This record gives sequence, C-alpha cells and structure tokens, in this order.
Amino acid sequence: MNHLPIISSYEVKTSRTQQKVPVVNGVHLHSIYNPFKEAETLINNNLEPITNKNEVLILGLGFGYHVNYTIEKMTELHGNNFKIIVIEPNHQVHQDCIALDLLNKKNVLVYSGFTAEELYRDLDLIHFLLRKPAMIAHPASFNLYQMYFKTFLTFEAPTQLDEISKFTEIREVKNYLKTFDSNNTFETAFYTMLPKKEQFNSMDFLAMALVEMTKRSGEKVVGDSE
Amino acid sequence: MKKILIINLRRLGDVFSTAHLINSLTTGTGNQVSLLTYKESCRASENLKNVTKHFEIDRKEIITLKTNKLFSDGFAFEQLYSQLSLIKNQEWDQVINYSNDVVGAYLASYLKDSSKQVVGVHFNHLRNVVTQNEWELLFNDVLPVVKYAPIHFVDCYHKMSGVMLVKEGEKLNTNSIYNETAFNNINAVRREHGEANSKIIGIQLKTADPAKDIPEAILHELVNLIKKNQEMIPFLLIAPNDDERRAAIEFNKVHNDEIVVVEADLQAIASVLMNIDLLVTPDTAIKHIADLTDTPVLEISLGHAPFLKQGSYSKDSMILTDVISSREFTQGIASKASLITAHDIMSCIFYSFTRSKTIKPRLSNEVTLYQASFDQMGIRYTPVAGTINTKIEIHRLMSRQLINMMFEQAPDNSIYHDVCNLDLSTATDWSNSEKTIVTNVMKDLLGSLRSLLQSVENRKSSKDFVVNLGKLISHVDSQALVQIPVSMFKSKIEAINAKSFEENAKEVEVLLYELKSDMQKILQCLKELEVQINTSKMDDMITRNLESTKVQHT
Repeated sequence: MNHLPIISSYEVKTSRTQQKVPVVNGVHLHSIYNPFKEAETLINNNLEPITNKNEVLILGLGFGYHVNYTIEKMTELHGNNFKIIVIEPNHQVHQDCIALDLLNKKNVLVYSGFTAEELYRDLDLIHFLLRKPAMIAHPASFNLYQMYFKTFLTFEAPTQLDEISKFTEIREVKNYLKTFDSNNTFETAFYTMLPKKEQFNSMDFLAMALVEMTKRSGEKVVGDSE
Repeated sequence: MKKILIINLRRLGDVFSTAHLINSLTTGTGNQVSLLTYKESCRASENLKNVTKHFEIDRKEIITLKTNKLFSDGFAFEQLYSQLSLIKNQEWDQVINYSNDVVGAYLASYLKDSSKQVVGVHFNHLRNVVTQNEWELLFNDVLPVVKYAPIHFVDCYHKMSGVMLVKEGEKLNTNSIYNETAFNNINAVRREHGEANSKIIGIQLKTADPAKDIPEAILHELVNLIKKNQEMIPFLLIAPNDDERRAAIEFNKVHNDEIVVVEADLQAIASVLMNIDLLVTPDTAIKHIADLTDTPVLEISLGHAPFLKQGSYSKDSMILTDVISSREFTQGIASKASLITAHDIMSCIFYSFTRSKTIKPRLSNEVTLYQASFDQMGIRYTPVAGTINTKIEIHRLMSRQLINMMFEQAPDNSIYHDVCNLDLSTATDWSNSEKTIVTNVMKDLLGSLRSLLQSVENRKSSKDFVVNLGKLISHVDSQALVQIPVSMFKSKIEAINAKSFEENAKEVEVLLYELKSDMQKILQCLKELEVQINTSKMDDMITRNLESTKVQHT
C-alpha cells in the first residue's frame, strides 16, 4: 500500500467563526464551528511531549490551525529553538493552505504529496526522525488517511541491493553497491559475501567496519580495557 | 612537521589516556594531531589539549539506520562514508590506530591510501594483519597471550609510533573559572576544617562496571577512618547524573550528611582533581584524568581491571590489588571476592603522604601495593608492600628486561637489582628453570633447522620439518620467557605468503636464526641476572659477617 490516498471529492467550506475548512472525501478536516478552539484543545492535550522535546512530527496538515497553535506553544516553551515537520498526503490541501496564507511558516517544514517510500528517501527527514521527535496526529487527517499514515509508521525499507542503490545519492557508495549481485539483499552482500572475499579494497574495509560496528561494536583484538 | 590522525573508538577513559601520546607527539615538534572518536566519547576528546581537529563517528545513528526497518541499510553505509569523507580526502603523514578493536583496524585499513604510514592494527589486501615493526608484533601477538603484561599500553603505543615519552606539558584543556572556583571552594573547606594544610582525599563513588566498584561497606568504613584523622577530609566524587546523585545521598545519610559531595562533569572534574591531594578510585575515566592533572592516585584495582596494561599512569601513583596470582583480567570470567579492606586502603593513604617511604604499609594477607615509577621503557609497577608473589614478579620484570634486550639492545640494570631485592633464592630457582626451558626450545629449534635444510635437499623430509616446527611453536603456551620470542616467531611464520617451496624455506630459515638469536638474548639476560644474584649474595654475606663481628665486639 505504498501510494497516495485517492481523493474523490474536495471542497473548502467556511466555519461559523469564518475560518476556511477543507472537506476531503466528505470529511471535514477541522471543526466547522470553531477550528481555533479545536486546535487549542488538541495541542493542550499534547503539552507533555512538546514540553520535553523541541522537535515535533505532526501527521496531517489540513489548513494548519493546529500547526499554528503548536508553533505558538513551542515558541513559549523553547524560544526559537524548535523544529516542526508536517506530513500531509494531499498536496492540493497544502497548496490551498499556502495560497490562503493560513500557515505560520516559522521553523516548519511540510512534506506533502509524497509516498512513504519517497519520504524515507529524504535524508533530512530521516535525521529528524532519528532524533526521536514528539509526535502529534491530527485526528481528522489521521482517520481520513488511515492507511497512508499506517504505511508511513510501519514502513519497511527495501532490502534488495538494486532498490537500495536507488536511495543512494553518493556516487562512490552507489558504485560500490554495484560490485555485488544486485539480486542480493544488503544483509547477504555485506554480512555473508563480503567477509568471504579473497582480496579487499579500500571500500571493502569501510564496509567491513560497518559490519563490525553494527554487529557487535567495540570487539577487542588485544587485551582488556575498561 | 607531521600531520597525524589518531583513531580511538574506545570509551571515555581510553580516550583520555590518548593524551599522553598526543602530548609526546606535539611537544616541540610542530606536529598537528587530529583525533577520530565515536560521538559518545567526544565529551572526553574535546578536553584534550593540542588536538588540531576532532572528528567523530555517530555510531548510534549508524546502528539505528542499520537496525531500524524504517530506514534503508544503504543509509547506514552512506552515513559512515560521509562522516569519514573529510578524513579520507586529505593526506596524512601517519594514521595511528589507538583503538585496539576490529572497527578501528578496518578504518585504519580504509584510510591506508590517505596516509604515508599506518601505525597499529590494520590489514593488507588479503585481510592479513600488517605489522610495521617489532613493537606492533609485541602489541598484537604477545601482549594478548602473556598473563602478566610486562609493558603498559601507553608505552607500547609510544614505541609503536616511534616517539619518545614526554611527561611534561599540559595535556588537558581546563576552564579557568572552574579552576578558580574549585581552588577557592576546596580551600574554604580546608579552612573550615581548621587545618589549612588538611589533605583532601577524593573518593570515586561509582564506576560504569559494578565489578570494579569498591564495595559500599568498605567505602563507609574508609570514610570513617579518614574522618578520625584530623588532617584529612574525605570528598565523594560523583558524575552529574540521577543514579550517582541518589547513591551519594544514600551514602551520605549514613554519615549524617557530613561528607562533601562533589558533582562534576568531565571538564569540571579536572579542576577539582587539580586541587585535591589524593584520589582513591577504582579503574575509571576519572583515574585517567587525574593522571593528566598530575594528581596522585591510589587505584583500587578490582574485577578484571587490567592494571598492568592500563593502570594509573603517573609517577606518584600507587595500585592496591589482590595478590597478582589471584587476579583474573579477562572480562566475562568471574573474579574472586576481593580481600582488600578499608584498613588496607587507609594504610596506603598514610603511606602515600609519607616522604621517605621507608615504613611500608601493613596490608591484609594476599593483598599487594604497587608503586609506579618510570624507567627507560616507561611506567613500571613495583610491588612495595603486602603479599608479593615473587616468582610472578621476577618473571614480569625479566620479561621487561628481555624486551629491552630484544628491541632496544639496552638492558636496564635497575631491573636486575629489583629482581635481586625480591628474593635471591627464588630468583636462582626461576633462572635455573628458565635455562632448562631455553635448552628445550633450542633443541626443537635446531631440530627444525636441521629438518628444514634436509627438506630443501629432499622433499620427503618436509614431514619431519612440519613435526619439528609444530613442537617448536608449541612453546607459545609456555609460561616462561621463551613465550615472547616464540609468539613473535609464530606470527611471522603465519604471515609468510605462499611462494615457491625454496623461497618459503629461505624465509623460515631466516626466522629460525632470528629466534635462535632471541634465545641467546634470554640466556644473556639470565647470565647477567646470575652475576647480579651472586654479587648480591656476596654483599649479603659480607654484611652479615660485619654485623656478627659488631655483635662479638659488643
């Protein structure tokens, strides 16, 4: 299920408090009564994680009322030292949100219209995720795009070397991966075939360093140490 | 001026101990030394003085990228490549693998093309370990097999790198505000105590490995003993984390919260150590920092802490340990319960503050105190009090002497003197036993040589050669001096690349003659020792005669 959700209908309505509300496949992404109040309630219910961390991953943008309130809270808590990344499958909603000038862009990066596979190719996003940010799911978006977000959260990166090569941006690494049979998995190539090689070049040693580092780090060659 | 990269992927304490080599490499040379560590050890590396550039590998990130299914494995490799690209893309005069682990060996091999010389464990294109000199061979193949290391790692790395030890010089970056605060606060404590010259004894409460911790009951008793002495003030040293804070609070409750607890990070602790009189610690990173600030250390060596290879490295240091024969230095093998008591530690504290060092501390049975000093090879630990296993100590000292003879062609006469001071009778027995073992090795060596020459003439004799060589190499298991040259011989034999029979035979012949020469050096050491033993016996006899004459006259 590594694709974008199908959007069969999309319209923009106006709430009683005169805010724009996107309606996708018949689902209102914000309260049709008061989107601000709804956003405040959502973020106030998630105060603990954003107090402890200065990086937040928000699943679902909609028209960004909850994102704006998160920025407000994060500024209170962390000054300018915070970062927010928003994942939104519907690129049209994001474009309209920008066009309507609804989103406060302070320290915010939005990934819209990308499949899970495409997202996990992005090194900036990967580094952000490695830092274990706080996570807030926008309930209406999350329920509407349930399959999309589930795929994102339970994604399994391809293991075949030919697929991995596509993810790789460094030429030397790409070329090195090509020296193995592309039908092999990374695991087989590095952990089984590489140690059996008869002759080792410079990149082989780097690969062996990775193997050892990830297999059991710090194995001793000589003696003991604290 | 050389551009040098040191790889040290080990823990904090090991990274701190690299400072000795960095100091020797940079003092008065104009050399630029950079350091590659894991990111988690940069807390240590950034405190080291004279480091031109710090490089780091974010191991945790790489492991997460590799093990978490969300991310492509390729990113892990790409990250490692990227994190090393700055190092790889410049030319080094020397890359020193100070890491002593497999990852370090592979990285040194990866960087081989970027450096004129690689020191320490690394591989050739066939993934065989490359050794540049005899010191590396000693480090890689001898130190792991000998039970009681004759040389400290710091000294071995100096020898491997071809650099003389420079003891003087600042080795740490300290913070002047911390220094001033520590000076003022510690002196205020001294004044409050009523004795401006009070001795402050810093006690390290915890280590990262509970097997190395000084048992809490002993620490309580030790603190009580120190408190009984008007001129001494105990300080508890802890790291700034909740676990140690809690432990210190609990510990202090027993002492009515009277003990000063110093909570300091790795930079601040240096300022504290500079202002105390003695550090009592198990094998910890703090011990290595104290070595760099010239703070006297009383190391309580427990668990598998390998004090002979990585003990406290400064001239005023002492090491208190269970007698060496009862120590187990291999990780994973359970150590016996220590017999060191609070009174033993207290006796050593008193001893450390005496100037003449003539009255030795009285220690529990099976406990030994070593005093550090420097000789021509580097640091030497000499047993000065307690139970001394003379046979092991003689063997350890004479192994050091053999290394002097084999690698430096310069014996250290103080070693013979120290051996004789241990016990003349044991030294004689030990020497006789060693001579017998050398004779046996020589027999096997000559047998190997003879059958090798025969097999060159007649290939049928090569079976005899293989059998004889096997017998010769089996002496690597001998717990005698021959273990050192035979282990080196074995490694050299294993490193011979398969060529024609004649060529290989020629190489083996050269190595056999080399081994023969080393055997002769052992005999030379033993002969010199015997001369010294006889001289000492003679001196003893004369002294005894003189004394008995004096008694008769009175």
